[in-house]
Amino acid sequence: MTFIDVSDVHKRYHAADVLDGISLKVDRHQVACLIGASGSGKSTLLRCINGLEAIQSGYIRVGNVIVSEELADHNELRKRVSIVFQQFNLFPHMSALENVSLGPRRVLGRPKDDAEQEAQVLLNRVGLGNKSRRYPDALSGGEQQRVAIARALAMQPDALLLDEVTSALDPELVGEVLQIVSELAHEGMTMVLATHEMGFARDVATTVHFLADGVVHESGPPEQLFEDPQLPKTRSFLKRLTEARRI
Amino acid sequence: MSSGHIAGRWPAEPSQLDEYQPPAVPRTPVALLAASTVAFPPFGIAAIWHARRAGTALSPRAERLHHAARSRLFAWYSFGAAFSIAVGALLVAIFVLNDFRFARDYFSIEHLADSLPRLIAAFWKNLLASVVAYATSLAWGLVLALGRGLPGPAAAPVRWLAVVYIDIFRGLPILLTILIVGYGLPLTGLPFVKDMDTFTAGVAAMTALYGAYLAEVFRSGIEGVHQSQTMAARSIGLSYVQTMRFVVLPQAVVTIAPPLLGWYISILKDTSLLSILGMLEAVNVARISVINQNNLSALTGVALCFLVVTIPLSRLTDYFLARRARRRAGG
Repeated sequence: MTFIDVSDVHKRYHAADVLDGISLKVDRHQVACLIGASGSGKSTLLRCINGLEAIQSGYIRVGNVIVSEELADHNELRKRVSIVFQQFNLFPHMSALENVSLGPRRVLGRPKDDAEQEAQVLLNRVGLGNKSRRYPDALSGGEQQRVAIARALAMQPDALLLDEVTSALDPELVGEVLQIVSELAHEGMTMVLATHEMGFARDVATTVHFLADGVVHESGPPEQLFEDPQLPKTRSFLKRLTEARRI
Repeated sequence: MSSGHIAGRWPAEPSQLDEYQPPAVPRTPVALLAASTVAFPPFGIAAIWHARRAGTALSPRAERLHHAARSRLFAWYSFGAAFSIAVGALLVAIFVLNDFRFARDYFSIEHLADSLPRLIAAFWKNLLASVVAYATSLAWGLVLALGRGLPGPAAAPVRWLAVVYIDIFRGLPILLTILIVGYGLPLTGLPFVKDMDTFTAGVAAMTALYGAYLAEVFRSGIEGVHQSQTMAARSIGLSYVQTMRFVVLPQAVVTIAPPLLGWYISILKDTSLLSILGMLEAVNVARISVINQNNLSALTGVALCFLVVTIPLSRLTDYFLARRARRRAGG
């Protein structure tokens, strides 16, 4: 069953069309990878799915919440779908534990002790059990991003949106974050992830979507899209990417 | 242009000696140096001695450059010392001239001993008024800032009212505000305000004005919190109010704490203006003492009362700012 349904969505910033009639379907327990050049609308699409940005026209449904509808319950939606940002966006005045337990305490109304206990479990799971009292500025980029993932998971979402979660990391820290994302994928978490890590996308993706000019230009299983892209634009994008890697 | 000039002030080669012309000595610095040497000889003499060595010594170029540099350094020391001495001399003159009239008028121990207990007792009223007015101004300023920042078209009238209020009260002189709010309102006979005592009326006037100033401080703090923080808070389901309460305001308050402390100092100082409402605060009491004693020492006493509080607070504000700058630099 389709869990995230995006169809013919238009989104404009000033005069520029960022999303130009984009459509996308993601089933439960699937991992959809969005690839494409910077500015192709990957991040914007994720933020629209989460209701963080309004759209001009089109239809977005997540579970049984129709996001694009007027009076859509965005707070209800965000309990179901969590987003992890490129720049982590942890709350700097809170410890890792407080960052993770804030949502459950204030949004789900859990008692402090319960919420912190569960937050500790989540931090253990991302390998930061011994650093739960640290503040973000005392954590490395990779550790901060793992806390951010734990914070997103704390809302017990049905789906996770990941917006280039490794792009702001030093190369040696990318692995620890991707490790956790791929564990989540194997556990059957429904995910939409925008990424530049093609090798990773090939490993975890159920479907890869190539975005260009605000639409999904070509979609397919990773083997097909990476090995045998059908459209010239996809081919040239992948070719540029492999060339860049060689340099 | 001869090659000697290009090579530098001192010719490197004997063959260039013919072409070398010493630079013209500028008159103003020399006159200043002479004057400062008269005021405080040691530095000036050192400067002149080094200047002569630099100009005349038949030593290597590096050594003469060294003397020139020392000469310049001692000349600056000499200016500094002479300036301090001039200021000190002026102060001494003020105290001493006219048969110690200034010292006796402003620093009479016996008059001060008589008036100081009364001044200190009255100064408590300034402290109390300032603390209460600060607390209410903070609360009112926060309300104004939040009102001004409310999102959505429905809140437009609230935003508009907040902007108009802040503009009006930031644009009024404090004395006028105290007269309008503190003096005028109790005279209107309207319920509640007609029964305000002087203290309440004064605090209300200061709150009306300083709330507007503090609202702007709060607003700058709120706007200083990056938008990605709001987005992250919203993304885990926090409402607008919760986002403000748990994410934005705690971060904003940390950044604006030093300026907020500075505003307390302003409020404390401005409590002296409440004397216009007839409140017997320290400055008012000092004026009465001045009239009764026919001596100005009570003014010095009340000045000391204020400085004992304001100077440590200023240092504290600077300390917080410096500590934050260090932390930022430390990453």
